[in-house]
Amino acid sequence: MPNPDNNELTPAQVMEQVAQAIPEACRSNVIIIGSLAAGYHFFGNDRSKAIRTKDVDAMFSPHAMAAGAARVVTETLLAANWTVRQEGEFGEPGDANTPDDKLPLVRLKPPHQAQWFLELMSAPGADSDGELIKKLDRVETQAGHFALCSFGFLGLAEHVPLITEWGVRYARPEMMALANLLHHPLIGTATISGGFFGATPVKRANKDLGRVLALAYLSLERDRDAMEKWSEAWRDALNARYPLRVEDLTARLGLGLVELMGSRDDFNEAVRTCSLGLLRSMDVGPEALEATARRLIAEAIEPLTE
Amino acid sequence: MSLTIHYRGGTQPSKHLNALKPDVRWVDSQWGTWLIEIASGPGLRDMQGKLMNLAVLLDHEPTDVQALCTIASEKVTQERLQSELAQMRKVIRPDLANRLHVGRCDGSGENVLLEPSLPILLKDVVTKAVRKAANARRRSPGGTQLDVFAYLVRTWLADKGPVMVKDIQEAVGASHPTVAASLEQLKKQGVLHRLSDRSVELKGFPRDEWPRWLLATVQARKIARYVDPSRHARGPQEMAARLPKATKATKLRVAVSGVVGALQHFPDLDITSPPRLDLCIAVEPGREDLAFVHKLDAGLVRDDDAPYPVLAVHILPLRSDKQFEEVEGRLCADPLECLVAMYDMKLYEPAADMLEELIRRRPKPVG
Repeated sequence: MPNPDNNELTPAQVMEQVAQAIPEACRSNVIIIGSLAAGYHFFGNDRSKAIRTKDVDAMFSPHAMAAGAARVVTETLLAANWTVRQEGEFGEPGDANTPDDKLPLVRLKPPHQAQWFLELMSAPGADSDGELIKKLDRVETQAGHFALCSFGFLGLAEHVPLITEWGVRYARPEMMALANLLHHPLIGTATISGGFFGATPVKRANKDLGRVLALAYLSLERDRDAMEKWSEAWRDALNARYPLRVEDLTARLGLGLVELMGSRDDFNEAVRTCSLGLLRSMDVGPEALEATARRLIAEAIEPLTE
Repeated sequence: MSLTIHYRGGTQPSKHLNALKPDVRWVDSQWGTWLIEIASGPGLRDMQGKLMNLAVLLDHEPTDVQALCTIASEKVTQERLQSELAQMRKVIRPDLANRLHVGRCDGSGENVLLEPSLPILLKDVVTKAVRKAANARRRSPGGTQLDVFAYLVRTWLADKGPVMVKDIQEAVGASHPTVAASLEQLKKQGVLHRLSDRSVELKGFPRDEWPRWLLATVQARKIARYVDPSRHARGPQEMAARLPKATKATKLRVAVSGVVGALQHFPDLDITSPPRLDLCIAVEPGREDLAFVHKLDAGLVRDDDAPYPVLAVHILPLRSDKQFEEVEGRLCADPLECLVAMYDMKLYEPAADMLEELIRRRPKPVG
């Protein structure tokens, strides 16, 4: 079991740094999602449970205000000596002539530390029906043009988010899990490389579905009835966000997870991403996550389809 | 060569305390005498009990008698068997340990694997014994001597007075020889009172025979054990509360047993918090459908060798259904069944306390 590095920040410390950096007027437009949201929810300031948060995903909500709020935040942070994180062919801000799909995402590094960077995203528009496409909105700042991306089911993170003591909100674990489950009705071939998972590329679906299992595992640690509560919350969220597609979406909800469980290689890869990510400080093996997956399917997913 | 196959129908106690006759006693002019036990698996638990039984038997045999325990299951590897035997040999007196051997065959008795040093003729003996045991199980799912004893104890605890032998036979579903042998043994031990009208009654609680009955019952019983790899299982009481919903779609009657069942019978009993949930189902042999366990907790995994399961399902003969009773709206195994489960959990003191409570609460004779 890896021991957290003493120099690592706790999720609460990172959350505080992020929140304090965002202009107060914009904080209520920000919903933190991803590993920081999960780490903050489950571990807070627990040093023994520090996680390696590399990219802090900040989603701006609602969609109508996202580009405007993102512009203010970007300009404020750059004025406070934050810098644009440049990676690969993306990085340099574009201009009015740069096509949307060639614009860099807003990725900003805080001054004097290299542990994490902030990535800005947008909640999907109200007309989003959860299609699995990436949409880009242009953000025009004094430093140049960027893109703000949103994904089909990211809108679920907006469903009854939780609030931190510093005023920024963060997505509920069960909503992030639902978004990931809906995003991966099958184990696709798309991979991600680098980051915590080493040089070997990892299938995105394995990483995201592994995250679902980690969220479920941690929720069950707190409350043995958590999966049944997830089921109820999912029903509410699907009815609120996608009232016309509830049946269709619930029907495909567990397909990716079932496929993951049927493939030893994919499942082991998912377990590995958990061991390097959210469950890093815990000794959780594949048998335990298989048990978690079965409980998730039986107690959260199946009741929705009955 | 002579071959005697003892059917385990009555799990007949031998002359040695706490030991049961072996399935087979094989006598060969060249290879000497062998005591053979067949474990039906699928896990090693059954085998562990039988190896122990063979060790006790060997202690009462001449020193040239040897013993073989064969597991009729493809699921156990030869390596695991040898490891099990090695463990067992460490705790048994060396002069006995060296006379104990293990083997493996498939469920039909074929493909017998033995240590190379053992007589090859043993393979045929094992195959025949496995087949006969399987046939005997299929033909005769009737009551055993253990059941006769349990019936008499239940009758005594309820103070029902003398009971006719034919009624015992009918209630237990045992053959006349089985019932007669059992009664004869109890009579020899001085705990049974025979009346002139062919009825019988225990003279008192059979304290000497009781521990042997518990041990033999646990050994003879099939228990499906479940573990929780993620340690997120609900507590035994919470699981028990979910039982009606989990079994709603099935006709199966599932009774709560063990500590949870005992507390249902005796809420005031000063007993430890339940370490696991024990359930009982009564089914025809080979007809057990444990799909309800998935509905109870999908995270559990069956491991019949697990020393500390979170759930244990006792698979009882169909007629045992009669011992299930409604207590405060919950289907429970009767107190005797709960005691068996507690004994299996090694909760000896609470089980002894509960037994005393049962005896104390026995209805007092009128007048």
